[in-house]
Amino acid sequence: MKSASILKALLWKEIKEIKRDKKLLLSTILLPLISLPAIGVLTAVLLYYQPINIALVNQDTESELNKWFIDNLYSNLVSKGYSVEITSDLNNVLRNLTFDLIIRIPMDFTSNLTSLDKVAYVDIIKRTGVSEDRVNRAEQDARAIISSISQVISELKIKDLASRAGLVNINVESVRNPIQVRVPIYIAPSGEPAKPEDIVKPFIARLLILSFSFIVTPASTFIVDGIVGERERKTIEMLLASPAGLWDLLVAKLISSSLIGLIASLADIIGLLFYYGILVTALGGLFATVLDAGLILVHAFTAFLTILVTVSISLPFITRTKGIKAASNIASLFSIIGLAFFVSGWVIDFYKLPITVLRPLLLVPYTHSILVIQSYVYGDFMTLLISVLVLISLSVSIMFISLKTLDREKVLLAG
Amino acid sequence: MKTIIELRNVHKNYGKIEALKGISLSINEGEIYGIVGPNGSGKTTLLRIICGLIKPTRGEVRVLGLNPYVYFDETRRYIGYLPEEADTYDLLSGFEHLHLYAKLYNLNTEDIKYGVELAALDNRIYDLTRGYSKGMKRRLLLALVLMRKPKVALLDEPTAGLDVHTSLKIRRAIKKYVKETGASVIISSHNMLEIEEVCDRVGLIFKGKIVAEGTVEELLRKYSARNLEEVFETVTGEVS
Repeated sequence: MKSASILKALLWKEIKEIKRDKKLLLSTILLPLISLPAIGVLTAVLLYYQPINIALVNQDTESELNKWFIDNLYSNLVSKGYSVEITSDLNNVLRNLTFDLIIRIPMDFTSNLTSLDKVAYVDIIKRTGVSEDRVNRAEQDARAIISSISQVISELKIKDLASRAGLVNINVESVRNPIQVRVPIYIAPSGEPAKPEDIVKPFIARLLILSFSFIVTPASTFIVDGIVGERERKTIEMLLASPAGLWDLLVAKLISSSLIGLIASLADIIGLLFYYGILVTALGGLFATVLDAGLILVHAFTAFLTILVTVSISLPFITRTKGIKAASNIASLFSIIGLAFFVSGWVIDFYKLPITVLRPLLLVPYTHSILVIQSYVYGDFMTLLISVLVLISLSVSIMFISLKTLDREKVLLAG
Repeated sequence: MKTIIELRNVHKNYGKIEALKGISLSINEGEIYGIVGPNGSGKTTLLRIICGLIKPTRGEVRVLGLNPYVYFDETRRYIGYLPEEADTYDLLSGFEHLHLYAKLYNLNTEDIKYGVELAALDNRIYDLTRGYSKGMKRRLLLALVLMRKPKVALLDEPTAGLDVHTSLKIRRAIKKYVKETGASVIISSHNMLEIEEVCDRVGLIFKGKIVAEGTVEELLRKYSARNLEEVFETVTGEVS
């Protein structure tokens, strides 16, 4: 009872200080609120202003069909946002670094196109050193356009052959592509047909995992400042001499720094939902459907536990370190480990890793933070629950061990 | 007269450094005891040991009959400690500091009123302490220690770095406190004049040892000195 009132008093002090530290609050809220949507917007803007340059090298002899093909290909590529230049000088284009993708129409293209025993090939040349993702997308677009033009030609050829053979009832597609795959259907983890927001949700989850790296850092900095800073500012000695036990002091610090992380995580999710809400609206969905209360809750709670486990692990080191710089370096080390995991969680589906690979990773608490979010998206609430329990028990047990190995003298005379 | 604080052959080592080398002293109820010594002589270590914050390497410490390190929780309501370089929380007001410490020590509103009176900061008590002068902060910190009327007050350099006027105010507050409560106070200082003015008894500490002890008059007489500074010079000259 006595300890509860002391902890309450210390928390009151911590929260008062946080509330009045406008710079801390602004940086904690604004950093994630701005940075995550900014990454998306910046990428989109840069992509817009740095289009892929395509050279259309026409080495075929001039004819009506060749002109039709080149015009068709050119206008379709331009309509997709590519910068296209038509030329006949291949050597010049190969040496010109501004061209990322080269489409070459060889000399005998039109004659092969109109024949019934030859294939008209088009060459695609890709330059190395250009963003693989962007150049591959350009290649896929070029292939799709050429394929659709090819279909028009093949339809004319099939109809011509059918008329020569005297066939009346003919379906061009049954001759050209007797087996076809329909347009893929997206399903949600539940097995139901996916809505636009279901397609977006895994992306949100991935970015939410990445966002943990944004919240672990300020929380670690806060705990360093809370303990080492309190010692450097000469405020800790009177508290240590008071009835407030070491346990009360450190628990108050842990809770308040986790609170900072919680605020940052809420700012994260608001920023992300706002960004993806706009995306879903653009895809024809409803903005409100992205607002998954469960995901918000799970993310906030996991963020709180992730920070708690981080500060619990760094606590025994921080409390034994004399200066802010040394303590910050220790805290940064844990933040970097967290960052490595959360960046991996952005691109890798930890949830689907083989158990032999996943098992050693489970020893690192951050794996559980990732699993909580990913298992929520997959609707696997048992894994979610287990990971949450692991995070809670790890934080509590590490904190307990840390506090058991500390005493007032070590905290007061650290270093 | 009842002995409140008793130390017997107290040693404290920090690794290979011997900070205290067998300190023995006893302080009575209602007595103001001054510990005088240069920087690094062991004054702060001695006060921290009496407070229970650090453990002596060997020797015995009793405050009101209890070992303050072992019975830390039990001795908290009796011991008040003002560290030498203590500071306030910039983003809390003076009044909020009093409120915080009142909560920690389970005090009532009357105690807080007494704290406000001791701090003597008038309306500035409601301002954030980041705007306080060094003297204002020191008065507030002293109020935090004394508002709960501890039976033992350990004041490490209570007036260090303060102007004459503020130092005088603090010395008067300490004297008034002892008169009103009958508490025992230990003041550590290297300001000999302050010690002469406030303390009933003085212990001169040098290189971790009490090298001379007694009332100011006794020490002046014994070493044929005009003031404590001369006593200190003579004594440390003898031992160094």
